[in-house]
Amino acid sequence: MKRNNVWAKILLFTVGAFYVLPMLAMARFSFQRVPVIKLGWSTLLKNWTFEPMFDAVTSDRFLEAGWLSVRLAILSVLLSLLILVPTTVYVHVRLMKARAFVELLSILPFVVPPIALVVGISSAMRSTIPSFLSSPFSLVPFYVVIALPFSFRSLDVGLSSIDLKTLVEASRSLGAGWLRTVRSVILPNLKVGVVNASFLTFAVVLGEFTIASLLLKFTLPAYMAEAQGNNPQGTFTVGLLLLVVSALLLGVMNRITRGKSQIVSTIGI
Amino acid sequence: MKTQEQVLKFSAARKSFGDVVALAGFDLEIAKGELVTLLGPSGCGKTTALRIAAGFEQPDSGTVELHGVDITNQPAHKRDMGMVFQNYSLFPHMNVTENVGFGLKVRGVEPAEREMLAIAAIDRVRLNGLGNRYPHQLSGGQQQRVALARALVFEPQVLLLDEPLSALDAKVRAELRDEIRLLQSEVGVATIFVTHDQDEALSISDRICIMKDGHVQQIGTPRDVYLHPANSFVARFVGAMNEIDVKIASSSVANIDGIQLDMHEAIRTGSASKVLLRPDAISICQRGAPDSLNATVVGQHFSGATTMVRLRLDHHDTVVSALLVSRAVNVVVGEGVGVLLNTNEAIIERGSD
Amino acid sequence: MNITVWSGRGSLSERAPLGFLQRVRPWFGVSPFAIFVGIFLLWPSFSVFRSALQPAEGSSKPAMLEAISGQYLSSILFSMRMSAITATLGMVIGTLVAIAVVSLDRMRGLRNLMVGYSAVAANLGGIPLAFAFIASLGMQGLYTKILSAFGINLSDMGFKISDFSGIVIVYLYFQIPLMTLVMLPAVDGLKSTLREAASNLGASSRQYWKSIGIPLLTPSLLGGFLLLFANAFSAYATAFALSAGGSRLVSVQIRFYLQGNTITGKSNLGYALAAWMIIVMVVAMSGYLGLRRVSERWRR
Repeated sequence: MKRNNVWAKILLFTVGAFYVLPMLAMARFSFQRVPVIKLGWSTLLKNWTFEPMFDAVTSDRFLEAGWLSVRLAILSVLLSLLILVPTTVYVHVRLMKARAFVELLSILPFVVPPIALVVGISSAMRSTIPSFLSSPFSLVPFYVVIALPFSFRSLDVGLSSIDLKTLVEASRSLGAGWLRTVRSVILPNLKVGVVNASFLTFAVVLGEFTIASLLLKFTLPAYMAEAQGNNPQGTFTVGLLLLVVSALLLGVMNRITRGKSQIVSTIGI
Repeated sequence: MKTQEQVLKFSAARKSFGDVVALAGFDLEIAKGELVTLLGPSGCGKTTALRIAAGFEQPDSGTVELHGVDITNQPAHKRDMGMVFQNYSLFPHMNVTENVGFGLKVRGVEPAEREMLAIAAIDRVRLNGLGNRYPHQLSGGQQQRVALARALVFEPQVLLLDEPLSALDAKVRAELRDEIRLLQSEVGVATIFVTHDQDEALSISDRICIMKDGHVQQIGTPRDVYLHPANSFVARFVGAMNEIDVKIASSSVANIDGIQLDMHEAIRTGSASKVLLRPDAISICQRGAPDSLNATVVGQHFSGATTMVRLRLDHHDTVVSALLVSRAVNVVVGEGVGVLLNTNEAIIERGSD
Repeated sequence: MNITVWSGRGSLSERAPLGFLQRVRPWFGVSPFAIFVGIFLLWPSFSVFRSALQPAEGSSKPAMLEAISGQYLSSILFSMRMSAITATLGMVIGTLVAIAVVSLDRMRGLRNLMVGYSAVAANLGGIPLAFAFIASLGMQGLYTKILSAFGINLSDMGFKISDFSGIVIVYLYFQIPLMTLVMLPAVDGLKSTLREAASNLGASSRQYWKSIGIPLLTPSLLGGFLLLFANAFSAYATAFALSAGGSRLVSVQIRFYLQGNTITGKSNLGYALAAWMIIVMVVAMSGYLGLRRVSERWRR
């Protein structure tokens, strides 16, 4: 099988290059003040600067958009956990039969592309509760919905690997009250799932463009789309930063779950 | 048995993985219809030997012959042997009938005949009517039966079993063990059975080959190996063994607790040694009877027909187990009794002097 | 005897046969979740269909039927074609990567690196990814320039990052790792013991792949294809950014029917297109989930 190994290495190297090269190009464009036409061996090391980046990240528009995105992300994480943690715990402890139903509900967001969802939001809510949609924070529940497949799965996987119901019964039979049981038995087993769900939701919200832009909310991706014209380099650095942050969030999370990766992507966003 | 046709023969097969010698100079002949068990702890080389027979490993030196033909370098898929794996290895996308028929399909047997033979094999392993089930719908024991049918349906020259019972629970294991033996002897195929469980080995083998660290320790019938172990490893590995520290008084007499025991064997005087004795070589008598040692009963384990009585030898701080027919046992814990050692059966393990 | 956990008083009680109401009551515990999903997902979705079934402007047919005629149909088909192509390419390359990773079994570190990055890359996308490719292969792209130095002029060859082929390449950036992640468990599942069993039963390498290897991989291959198809079909942001909103993909086209805050007369068609998108997604995702269940059953 030695022959195979050579092809395998070549393939992986090529694919790896495909993954890395665009990022390098993006970085180069962001940080080097040399137009591509003038790029050559002599100019390769000239004019590397952080200036466009500073311009971008200190601009009012960026700060406004970035701050909104961060707030939306935090609120989405909190709302997600608020709804999902009690639900998953309840299902695992009290009503396992409901698990299939809950899982089905959590997968439904996949079949509704964000673009279709935003169309539906307009149709349904613009006439009935227009004041709701005018606030930028109206995005939060929709973001929770979009991230639902990932956040539910993160929490569920953590709880599925242990028999929570038996643990709770054991704790109760040993005399622990509800509060104690929640604190000592339920919460520790949720830790990993909560961290994963939070990171995923955060990454999803930061990068979400479709709904935000069509509901005319000024989030980070919307900023990037807008500022592309004025300060392309700076905007690209923001994009790079966003990629790096997302990659870090997802990478750390992948580390924690040790490779039992989240299979479906958030691309349609 | 010598007149039986020799089917498989290992000659001086050696195999190393890096620095580790997995198999050292392995010699074994297996006759038609014979079930030989390779028995030993993990790492003893039994699985390596089996895989060499199957063709999944190539020995570094030495040969394997099938009916006198050297097959050492023959690829696995040409060897006409049937193998049963520890984790069943059934093809998950095929139902039982298709799994069983796979070996026939590969050999070009027509579908109609294939199905007929497969169904017959499935019936033989008592899975009648389950032909349309898929592996994930079967229990462990059922899956292993399918594996067995699959391996035997094309009438291979040799049957190879790689710890087939290890993944099953106790009750299923015992049942399947006997069925494997029955099937194997009905079909009359030369068989290599690999296991680390000496109970299994003793109960179904024609011969047992005990291995340790790549070396063969003893090859013999279960009776031979149990009653006349070749060395102390075999003695301890197969069956239970009592161990008693003794002082050797003179050339053939061991001294236990002041009692001289004739050891029937010349021993160097003065060496501190151990006497190894099977539980069934110890019996109980009245305290003070001639040639008996004084002891106190410290426990009894009733197993139906037999009872294992645990006795602490007075002044000796050794606990021995005596296996007795339950009807003959009439003692209570704490009672003082006499213990008779059948020294004809004893094995002496010399101490290092 | 069961310990009734939620009795609130820690009491031990016998479980008597439950009446209907008693059986239904526990389900109220999941109602907050169900209501949330109902409001923020199902209500908008139903609304899409409700509007989609209204007559389109200047026609008596429901908008949904109108949407699959003429020019509107072409954008749906365009999206489907694009999705199918990226799904196919992603399927082939992603599977090869999975096989490569598994066969280089000894190099654990390499596998971890590839899997780790795939987990990240499958989830990257949108605007930043579009930026990265514009910087690479756009008109002023770094590699466009490098290639032209070697005499390969991309724009002469008719390649533009905003066009069909450009979007295909960009989509591959997340399609390939997604397929890799889908296929890895399946390729792993071709355990060596199955190979040995087949070999022992007399199968040559070719026979093994034909009867065992490929059949075992097929559900995952098809399921992966459907997943990738759905993924590409529903994508919006990346295509939007690459084409500056001008793409012929149906997801980007819908936008034109929702101009800002007002809903133009043609909007029922927008809803219709959205409704068809949902239907395509339901079909694709159901297929994926069904096939995934089959392959997981086999790997039990």
